[in-house]
Order: sequence, then structure tokens, then C-alpha cells
Amino acid sequence: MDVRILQEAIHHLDPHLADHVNIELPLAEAVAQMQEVTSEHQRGMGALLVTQEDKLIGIITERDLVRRVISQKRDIKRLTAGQVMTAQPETLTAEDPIVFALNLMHFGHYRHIPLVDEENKPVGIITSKDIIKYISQFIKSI
Amino acid sequence: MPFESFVDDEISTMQEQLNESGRALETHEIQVPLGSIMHHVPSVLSGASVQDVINLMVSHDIGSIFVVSDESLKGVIGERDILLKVLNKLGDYANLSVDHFMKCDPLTLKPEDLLDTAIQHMAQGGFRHIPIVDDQHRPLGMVSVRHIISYLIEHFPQEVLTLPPKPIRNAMRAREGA
Repeated sequence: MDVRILQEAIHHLDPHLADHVNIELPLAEAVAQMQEVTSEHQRGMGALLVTQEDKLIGIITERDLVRRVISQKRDIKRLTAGQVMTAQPETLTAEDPIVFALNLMHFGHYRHIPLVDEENKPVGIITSKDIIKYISQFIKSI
Repeated sequence: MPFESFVDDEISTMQEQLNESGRALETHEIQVPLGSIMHHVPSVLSGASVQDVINLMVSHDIGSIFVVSDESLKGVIGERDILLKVLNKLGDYANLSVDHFMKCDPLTLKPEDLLDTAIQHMAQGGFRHIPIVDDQHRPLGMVSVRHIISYLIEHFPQEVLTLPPKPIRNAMRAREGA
């Protein structure tokens, strides 16, 4: 496996489109969206982007939900997306090299990285699984 | 400008390093045994409550837990299972048995199996975690996508650690867009 494959742009990972919700959306509706099983998301979604005036302002991950809602026994019906999200997440663009994403995932312990355009509008999301899938093409098959 | 020339120097140094021969991750580095990179994951007994699992996830800052019976691995329960099957779907889930929500009989590998095997299984099966078990099917540890990424980063220190920090990258982007 040649390290140069990690210098390719993130769009080579074929990122998922960015599913996003408004910061004011009731959390129950955001969670329902994450739980939805589709052909693209066969086990739901582990993260949802949060926007305000179409700009990325936060991310809600399954980890946030377990730690900030479930374990604290908070009532999901009384919360909004904005009250549970991780604010101002680290972002990349689809033109950044893949190694930037590895770097953020390793040092920031993130599993999801939002992709934004030059106006900070969400355009996609990549996960650590996308990276493993990409790398798997370049190593011995089983 | 001195700032821009610094960025240009950094980028060109990075490119030179990458273009040198020998920057490949050698086959033996990908073929490291999983026993050497797996990490400890706590277990609960089959029949334990969902609340026990949630408490363990939070106290150990971990995303998935082994479920065992007679020391043998029966299943794995992760944050996604809690999100999909529990949150906002069941009124009083805290005392329900984890067995209803866990993934039963997950794919497992042995500590002597190799990293490239784990990567291929994860890519093909869409798994984020693979339990590592012994010959009696007792769980020894977990190999996760996150730990594989960390392993790769640690074996590419030059390329990763010399990346320009984010403010410089943003400045680069602004300049490129100008």
C-alpha cells in the first residue's frame, strides 16, 4: 500500500450527501431521521449535520445521544437538535487530501467529518468506515 | 509574503517526501497480527440490563461492549443498536435485557489473524468493530476502525505530522480562491 493513495482528494471516497436539520428542529424528529433505514443507510445514520441559515453549525452523533440524552435520562421530547449537538465541528472540503481526514479522526477521536463548501454550507460527510473501504482496495484481498 | 512562502515550502517539502522512494507501507506492516493492535473492551453477562450497558459505555468512554455467557462471546452491543432500537421507541428500556438489542454471533477473528484481513472484512461487511476471540470463543479484545486509522497514522508519521495546521490551510484556501 502506497502512502500516496492518502494524498488523493476526499471526493475519491465517494462521500455521502449531507443529511442536515435545522438547529431548532425538535430532537425527536432529528432522531427519527437518523433511525430511518434506507438503501444507502442500512443501519440508519450515525451522525446528522445541524445548520442555521443553511450554514453548518453543529453535528449530532450517536455518541452525543448516548452521552447527553440517554445516559442522563433526559426527555427527548423537550429538546431541540441545537441543545444536543456538538457545536462548530472540524470540517474539511471535498478537495482536501484524505490524509487530513485521517489526521482529524486520529487526533480528534472523530468518526464523522462534515464536508463544507466555501460558504460553510454542508455538502457531504465522511466516516472512518469510508476510509477503511477506500484503503481496502489497495491491499491484499481475502 | 513570508507567510505564503512558508506555506509553499511546507507543501513542496511534503511533496518531496512523498515522491521519495520507499514511502509505501510495506506488506509486513499491513500484516501485523490483530492481537498486537486490539484493545480491551468490557463485557456484560447475557441478561444484563440496557442501563448496565449504557453505564459501561459512558464510564469506559467506549462505543461497544461484549455480551458473554459462560465466558463465551454471545454478541456485541454498540451505540448504533441503542440509537436504532431503544431511543424514543421504548418507554422504560433501562431494565430490559441487553440480549434483545445486541448483535448476535458477530463475525470474529483470532489474535494471529492479520490486519489486512480485518480491513477487508470491515470493508465488505460494513463492520466498524471485529471481536477477537480465542479457541474457546472467549473475547480477548476488539479491533475497531478507529484503532486501524490510528495504527496507519502512527506508521505515516512524516506525512501526517508535518501537515500544515488548520489556520494555515484556511489561509491557503483563501489565497487559492483569490
